[in-house]
Amino acid sequence: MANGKPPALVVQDLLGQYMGPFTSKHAVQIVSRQTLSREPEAVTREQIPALLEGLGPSLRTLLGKAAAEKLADQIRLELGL
Amino acid sequence: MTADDFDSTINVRARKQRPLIRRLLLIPFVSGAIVAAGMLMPDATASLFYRGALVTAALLTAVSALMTSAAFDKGQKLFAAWSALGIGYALAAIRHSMRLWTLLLGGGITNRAVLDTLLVLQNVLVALALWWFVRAWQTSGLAAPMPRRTQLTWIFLGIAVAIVVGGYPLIQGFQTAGTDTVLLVSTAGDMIGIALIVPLVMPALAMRGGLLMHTWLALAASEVFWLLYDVWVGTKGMIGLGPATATGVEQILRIIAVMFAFVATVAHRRSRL
Repeated sequence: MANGKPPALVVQDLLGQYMGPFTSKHAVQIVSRQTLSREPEAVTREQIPALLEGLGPSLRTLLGKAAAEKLADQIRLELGL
Repeated sequence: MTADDFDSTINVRARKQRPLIRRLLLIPFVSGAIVAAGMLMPDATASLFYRGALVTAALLTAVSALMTSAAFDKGQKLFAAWSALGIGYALAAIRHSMRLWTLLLGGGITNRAVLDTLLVLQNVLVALALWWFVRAWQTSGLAAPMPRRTQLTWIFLGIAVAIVVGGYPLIQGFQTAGTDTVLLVSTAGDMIGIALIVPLVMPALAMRGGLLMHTWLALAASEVFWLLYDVWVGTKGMIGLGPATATGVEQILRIIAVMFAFVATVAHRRSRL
């Protein structure tokens, strides 16, 4: 598990591989604020599933359901969730 | 420990895919180079060669687009977009195959109404597909907020380019509609595509550095080459090149445009886990 960086920023980095760092940063920021009412840096590891849930519709739009779920599962695995 | 430290599977996969996807971008230019050989052939052979190349390119794009659409649920915009693109290019492949058949064997379907109907459907479907690609991005929730004025400026700029480039051939098409439906419909479809270049480039810019960038970039590149094709068709008579060369350039631009659409379909599949 990545413990040198806030978990939401790890998610941001991993999503950035697909949607680029600018869009992933914007996406994580929006969902953190709207869904979790906090800045990405303050999102806890336990809140990551909720963050991924919030990002789900966008990921499904761009990647399709199966690929989006696989990506979310992979991110959860990487973060030891 | 950061994401880079433990070198996640996602990072590893992305690093592997990135150069492969970049290399895809060479395919249209390699295809153009192959088609350029037609300029060295006798006219009759060149016609067969160009038509055969178009059938191949359109068929490849159609199959690949439909394969890409399979990843999405019905009702999703990208399912509609990839399906429309696939069916549109399938119709193009059918239409060009009919022409090829006629060139080769002298018979086949030559009914103007049939060929023109295929052309109209093809243009409508491809234009719809591009519109759905733009809408998919705009409704994904990922588009960064942009002042409405800036958005409209870019959109109107794209429309202005489409009008400038397509206006003359479109007028020509209207004037000769009875004898040149191909010019009219093809130009109208291309104008819509050209007007969507900027809305297609914007997601590519927003996703720069990401694997998905290449899909929208390739779609925009396809439309840029359709724009160049239209400009060439409208101006080739004024440039004074020999007919074989002028036709060759026209076919090269067309193949590059089609193959960039193909690249978009493959790039999207390769972007997914």
